Amino acid sequence: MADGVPTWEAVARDHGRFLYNVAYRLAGNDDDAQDLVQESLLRVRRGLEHYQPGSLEGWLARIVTNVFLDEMRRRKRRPTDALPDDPGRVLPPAPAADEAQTGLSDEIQAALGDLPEEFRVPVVLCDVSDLSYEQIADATGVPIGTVRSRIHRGRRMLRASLTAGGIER
Amino acid sequence: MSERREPGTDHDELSAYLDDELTPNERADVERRLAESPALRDELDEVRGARDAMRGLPSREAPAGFWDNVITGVRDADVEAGEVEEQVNAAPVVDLDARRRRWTRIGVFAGAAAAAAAVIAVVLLPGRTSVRPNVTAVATQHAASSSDIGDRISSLAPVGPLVGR
Repeated sequence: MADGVPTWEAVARDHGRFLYNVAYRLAGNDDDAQDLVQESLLRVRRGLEHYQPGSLEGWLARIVTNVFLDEMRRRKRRPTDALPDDPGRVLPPAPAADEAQTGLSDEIQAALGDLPEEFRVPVVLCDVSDLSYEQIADATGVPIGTVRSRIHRGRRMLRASLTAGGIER
Repeated sequence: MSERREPGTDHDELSAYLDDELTPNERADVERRLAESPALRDELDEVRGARDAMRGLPSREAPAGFWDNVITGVRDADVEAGEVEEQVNAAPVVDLDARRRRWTRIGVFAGAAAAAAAVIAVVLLPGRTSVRPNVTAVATQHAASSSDIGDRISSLAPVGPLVGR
């Protein structure tokens, strides 16, 4: 690492779990999450020379968010059929032993996936990535006040969806 | 600059309160209003439930083998980009000015060689009453001598008998 700037391999090694988790919560499935992470690492690789040491996870969250939003815009312009099987695709893990917890997680993820992206992204960045409102504003390019209102509305919609599905805390 | 509030966000300070994003004064104001309003407390519980549900999600792990694949993929993309860069860098840099100067010199020498050969043909060859140098032969000999002898001056003199008329 030179001047506080990590190599992209170090980013993959030390922050890969963070990247994958955010990507998965945004995308809602392993296939898309894998694509998001790979594209994000390519952008990390290209962008490292411009990276100013600071909040690395904030920077990574911004990258994966942009990759996700770019993909959403692309799909809206050009809806595609299901992709053929990719021999390089890695299969997701087998269901966990704790089926109840897995089921609950799936329900929450499904409710999260039903949120429009403008609400899903800040909720994920706040509650999964644990970013501050300022970091989320920087990652998404919207004012802090908008971040605050979208997080609140996103949570209310999420709660309504979970309650309607019979999952209530 | 004040921001226009989106509809239904009158209580977004509740989420900010949960996320510790309020100033001390704002926090005190929210706590006062919560103490006074059951509806506000219900709404706080609602968003707290959603927040807790999200924060309770287990970290999603990448499938086994994924990181080997993705690192290889990024490295391959690196190699490919590097190979293209190498091909671009390996292409000879052409100094156009030097090239023009070199061809100018070649042209001058070729012209001088042809003229010299014409003079020789007129002076040395008997019975010739008209100057009709065999340009093709002169050019061919010049080219042959130029490639055989590195010395530009020597290359002006033909090394073999002129052929033809």
